[in-house]
Amino acid sequence: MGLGLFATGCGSESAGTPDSGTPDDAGDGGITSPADGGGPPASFVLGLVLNDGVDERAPRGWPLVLMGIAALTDDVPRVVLDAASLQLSIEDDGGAFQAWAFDVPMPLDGDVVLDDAKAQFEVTWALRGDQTEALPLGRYTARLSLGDQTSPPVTIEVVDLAPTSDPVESATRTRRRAGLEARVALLRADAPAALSAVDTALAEVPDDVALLVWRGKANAAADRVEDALFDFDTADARVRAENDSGEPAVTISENRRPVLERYFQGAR
Amino acid sequence: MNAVRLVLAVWAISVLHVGSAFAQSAEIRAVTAWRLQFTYEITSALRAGGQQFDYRVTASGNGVLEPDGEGRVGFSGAPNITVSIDYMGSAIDGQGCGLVEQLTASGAPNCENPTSLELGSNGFELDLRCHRMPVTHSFSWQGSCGEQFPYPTDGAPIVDWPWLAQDVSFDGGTVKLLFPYPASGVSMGGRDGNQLMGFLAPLFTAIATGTPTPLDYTFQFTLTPAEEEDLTLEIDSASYARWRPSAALPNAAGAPLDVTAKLVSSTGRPPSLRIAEVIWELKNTSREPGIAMNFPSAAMDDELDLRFADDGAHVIEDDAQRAVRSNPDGFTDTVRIEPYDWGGWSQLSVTAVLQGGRRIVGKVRGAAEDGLRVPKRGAGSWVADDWKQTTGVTGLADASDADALPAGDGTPGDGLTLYQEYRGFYVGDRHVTGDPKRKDLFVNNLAKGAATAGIARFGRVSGLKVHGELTPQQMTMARVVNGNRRDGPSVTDQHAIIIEVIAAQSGYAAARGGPGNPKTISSVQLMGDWATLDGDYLSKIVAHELFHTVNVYHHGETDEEVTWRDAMGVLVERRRGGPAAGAAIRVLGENGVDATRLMLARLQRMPGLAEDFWLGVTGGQQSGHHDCVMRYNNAETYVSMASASDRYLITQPMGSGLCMSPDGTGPNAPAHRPQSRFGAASAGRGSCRAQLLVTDAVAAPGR
Repeated sequence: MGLGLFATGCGSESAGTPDSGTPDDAGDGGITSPADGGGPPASFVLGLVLNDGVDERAPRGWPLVLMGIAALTDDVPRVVLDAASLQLSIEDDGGAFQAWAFDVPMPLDGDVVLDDAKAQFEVTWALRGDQTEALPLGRYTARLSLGDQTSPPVTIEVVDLAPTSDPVESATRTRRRAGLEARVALLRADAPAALSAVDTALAEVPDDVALLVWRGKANAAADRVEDALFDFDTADARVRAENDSGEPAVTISENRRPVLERYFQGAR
Repeated sequence: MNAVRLVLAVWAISVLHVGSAFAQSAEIRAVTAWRLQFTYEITSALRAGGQQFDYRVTASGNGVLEPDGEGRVGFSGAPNITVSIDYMGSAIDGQGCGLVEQLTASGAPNCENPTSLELGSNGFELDLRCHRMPVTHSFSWQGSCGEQFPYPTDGAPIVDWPWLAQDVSFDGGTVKLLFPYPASGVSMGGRDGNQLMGFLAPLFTAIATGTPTPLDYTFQFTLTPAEEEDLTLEIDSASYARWRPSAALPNAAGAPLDVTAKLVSSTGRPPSLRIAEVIWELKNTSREPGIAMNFPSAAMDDELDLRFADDGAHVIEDDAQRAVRSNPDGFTDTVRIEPYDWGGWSQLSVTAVLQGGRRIVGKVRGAAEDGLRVPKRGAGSWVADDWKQTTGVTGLADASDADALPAGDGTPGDGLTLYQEYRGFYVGDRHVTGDPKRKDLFVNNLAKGAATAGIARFGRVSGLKVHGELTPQQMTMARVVNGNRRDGPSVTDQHAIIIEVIAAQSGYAAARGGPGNPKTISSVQLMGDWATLDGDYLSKIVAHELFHTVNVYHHGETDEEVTWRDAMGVLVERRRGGPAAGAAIRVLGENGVDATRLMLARLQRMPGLAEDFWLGVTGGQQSGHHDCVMRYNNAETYVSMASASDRYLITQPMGSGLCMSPDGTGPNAPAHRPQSRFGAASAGRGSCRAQLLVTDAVAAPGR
């Protein structure tokens, strides 16, 4: 690889204006700079997203997933973060902090190094459907923080969905709920639970692309390579039929890639 | 004719008389020497299309005029005169080629003869006899000019400048102004002021329109018996040099500026006269809408951006543009100026009215100019000097948009002028300034954490200054981020990028309207099933789409979708434009292992015993630099050059950098075995770093 052709950005071009938003006073709360804490300031951003990022509503009875992201920016080439200091806070409309009993399928502790080779890490907090049933209805604000850095706020509106007779809306709900259930199950390495959730939903919305991809991932996790490929291929055919943009279905190709490698092991 | 010409097309003069008598009194005849104190100012400015300039001359003088003879009719002397000249002009043509021109001077002028005072029967006549000033003249070409051009005049370098605007006949002529005597007392004074129409020739940036420009001048003086106390009103502010305007939310003032005026006697002793009144005024205060370029969005207000604080000691008048204090203690007074806009500007003046009515105008010690520019800034500029120095852009004009990094396709700038970058933006819950050397790009990330890492990756890889936390309230409905403007210089409407998740869009992401510059991109749309992807890969997808928003293209567009089918135990491929029945193929690993049988077994499970594949081709989407984030990685097969019926099966990772060459690297390199997979990028593609375009001021070129 001609590495000399690339400039992946390590801040040498930064002018560093006084209030340009660089976290130059990030402090030491869980953050250390490249060598010893006395060097250049830490530089990363935090993000948070509810469920699939489409809707602020979190229906009671559905799983609730909050994914947090820490990502390296361009001000330093490397930063070491104390992931155990990552804080998720949730407040209600009155500013009262909430103590939701999150399950953390992907716990992190200790130092996490962000650099060009691995420029981000994710942490997921999840509530099962039976846990969200107990949440008070209302509007909440979630934030992720580490040291002096805080993510943009994410609104969570806990709601009870009214029954619907609209088949399109019904299918959408089925797809999104099953996707969340499969996602949480796979994060817990529970492939059978993921398959069960997706199969049930596919009975109502057959050929749904997202659910087929989730089933392919679940089958792959269960070491059912041919079944996984079948799911991905079916999803791919569905996308090609619907997508006139010419854009490849990357969620399918990227999930299928490792499975294909296993299937054609030795032939590459 | 001298090359330096101050051509005044229309000459008009009106003299404002002080007093009304036309005969000199015995008291005046008794005066043995006169102290002359004067101030002079001329301003002129133009904003016309791509041309603008600001011209300002300030001068002051102080000295004693001694009698020329026994009759005490004629007096002359050489007062200390200090002149400051500031001219900053720029002109830009339709092709983005601009000229920045500067003329400066500070110090004493060349006085040909002593200043004279003649006491006549119908009034007194004052003649400065001091007309010219050595100056420094410079200019530079900026923008898209392909090469350096000579200065666009045929004249010699400017070394001498007629600083008196009304000096129409300066070639040997003089300023002789006739004033009446006062009705009583011995203090004489006067004021001469008017507007002239003329050209500041040969300054190219001033005469480019060919239309005369108004020049406003004022000349004020006093003549008092020489024994009158020499007093000055000194302006001082401890924080002035580093202060810049700011604002606070909601609708509150930012950090204030305290300014003090102090009456000082040249004797070094306390002045013998008390201050009766101190009058502070803010003049030509800006009224830019909103408090920053994007907040509140689409602001329409015309509120004054700098105001005097109501401290209880001053009477605040005229929309807080005038602050008056009567009978201050001692000889000093301090006023507080509060900013309500990150880009506000004004001109502060202060006058002390002494017991008996004598008026003294304040200035900074040693300065020729009356009052104080707020914030501290150069003539013709609204940007604080300190910010320019801190960011290393002291030589740039407010209207320039010269961000050079990253170079991209060679088009400088990010659609934001220097003034706009200085005034700044609200992003999320904080105010930020732009980076005047690095191109800024604003992103409204509705996808929240799904796109956070991708935006960060895009910023790292591109070298752009990416502001990824813009809220919908921090841009207009049309996505404009610099819409709050009235007098501040602008080059274009610069647009933000919206990123959103589309629930019904499965499988793929797209930059709608791209590739193009930000104004062409309606939004970047992420797939609703993004959560099925590995986070690192998702961030590359987001970065890939964001590069489309700054006019970066794929490496090619000619990859094919093919269908492989099990035809009675024979693997056949149908290609676009090929025979309907397809052609028999063989599937191999790149190591030569035949995988045709495995593929046939796989197809047995597929509906119609067939499956679609992306077949990458030379110069297609998968070509070029292997580790470029703009290279597709979805193709699973390609055609053998050794045997047209053989297909190689592959998997490939997605790149993470941004290429600077169209050449194939890694598996695309000529040395790869069994062959280069996809070769170099197609003509005009690849070299992605050299495609990058941020500014909305130009039309994005296609490739």
